[in-house]
Amino acid sequence: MEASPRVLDVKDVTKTFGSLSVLKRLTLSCGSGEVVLLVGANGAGKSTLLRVIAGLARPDSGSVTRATKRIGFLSHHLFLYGRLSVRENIKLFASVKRASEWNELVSRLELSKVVDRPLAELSKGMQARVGIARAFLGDPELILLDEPTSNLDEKGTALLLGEIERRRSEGDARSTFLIATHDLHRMAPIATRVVVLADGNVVADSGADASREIISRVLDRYREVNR
Amino acid sequence: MIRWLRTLGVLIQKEWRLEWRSKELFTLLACNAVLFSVLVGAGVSSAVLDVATAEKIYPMLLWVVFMLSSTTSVTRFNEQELEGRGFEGLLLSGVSGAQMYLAKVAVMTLFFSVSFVLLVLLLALSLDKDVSGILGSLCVVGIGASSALASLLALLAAVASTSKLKGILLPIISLPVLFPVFLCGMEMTTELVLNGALNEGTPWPIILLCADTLYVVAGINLFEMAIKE
Repeated sequence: MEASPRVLDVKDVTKTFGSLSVLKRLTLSCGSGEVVLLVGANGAGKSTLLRVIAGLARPDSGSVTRATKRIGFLSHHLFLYGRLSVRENIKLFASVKRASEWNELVSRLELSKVVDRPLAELSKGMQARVGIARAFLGDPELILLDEPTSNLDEKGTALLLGEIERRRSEGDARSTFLIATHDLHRMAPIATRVVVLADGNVVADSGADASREIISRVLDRYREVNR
Repeated sequence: MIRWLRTLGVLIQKEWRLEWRSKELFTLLACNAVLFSVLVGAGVSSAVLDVATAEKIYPMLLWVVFMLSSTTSVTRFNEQELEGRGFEGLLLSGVSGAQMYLAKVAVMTLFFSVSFVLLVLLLALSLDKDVSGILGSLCVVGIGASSALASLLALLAAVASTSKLKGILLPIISLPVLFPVFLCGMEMTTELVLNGALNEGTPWPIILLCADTLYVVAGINLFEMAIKE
């Protein structure tokens, strides 16, 4: 089978905060269209890895090569402005990304009713939906999701999963997803690959386009170790 | 270039909206301007200075008060960026640090300029000084100094924003660096007060322009580094 073109190459990346070494010579590559689940215990380095990949944190050593500049990133920080309304926030990011589809995205994520309310006045779940809209604006080719379901209810999760599915099935250029999560029950079914992080490094990798069986086996192993 | 400028326009709009909603910077600037003017007025009147002396010290008082009120008012200017880490969203969207910086400078310059005009009038009232003949020229000097002040404070506010001591840190680190602006503003105001116009061949506007350029160049190059992790 022909390998999909590489979207991301992380090579020997090290990141420390003071005396705490969070990433230790970590290496990881992702091809186009992959949905990679990053799993690991708290402090394993998942969030730091995503920040380094997004370019928001500089690695102490090693290199990160991205084949695209169109990156969407959803983290527990919303990267939005609480005093602006939902519409103002989305329009701001749509304008700077030259994205015209913000209206459709708002209605698909069922934000139309709250579009004129200040972001800070919304529930955490609705704020997270606005964060999803921001991250998915402008057809990003690489989408990084850090605990995307942590504030979402069933409906919000279904909308997120629907949006991910849409990016995978529509258009010529398929998005690549890196999803750091503990919510294996809801996220595992969409994964095409599972990478397990522990102590700042990759300790298990199902490989690209892994079968359900292999993914289940890697996840079972991960659950066992973390029990 | 047009795309770059359009993005800058969008960011200026964002800065304006954020400030309009919170009114933090303008409220602080206005309150500090009123407070310092009243204190200065009370101090001068209790010292029983004659009109000529009060007129001579007007430029110095104006610029001391303007510098102090400005540097102590911007300590929360980056708070809204930090609350939701909106600046990281913008960086991810391809916005450069230079664009973010220039948008902040533009909005800050506007507020500083308004605060300067307010101060000119309040201090003139406190010291019983007629500035109607030189008000236009004073405003031009004020806008020039405001842009220099904004250029430096936008950068230093970003540098100090992650420090727990930012309230103290910002005036301490900015006032010495702002000395050229203070000196230029004070000298030009003195010339305006004494002669009604700037002296021919006065070097102060050029020095102010140089300081302004220096701060802007530093800000454009360092702002992104200052806000990034």
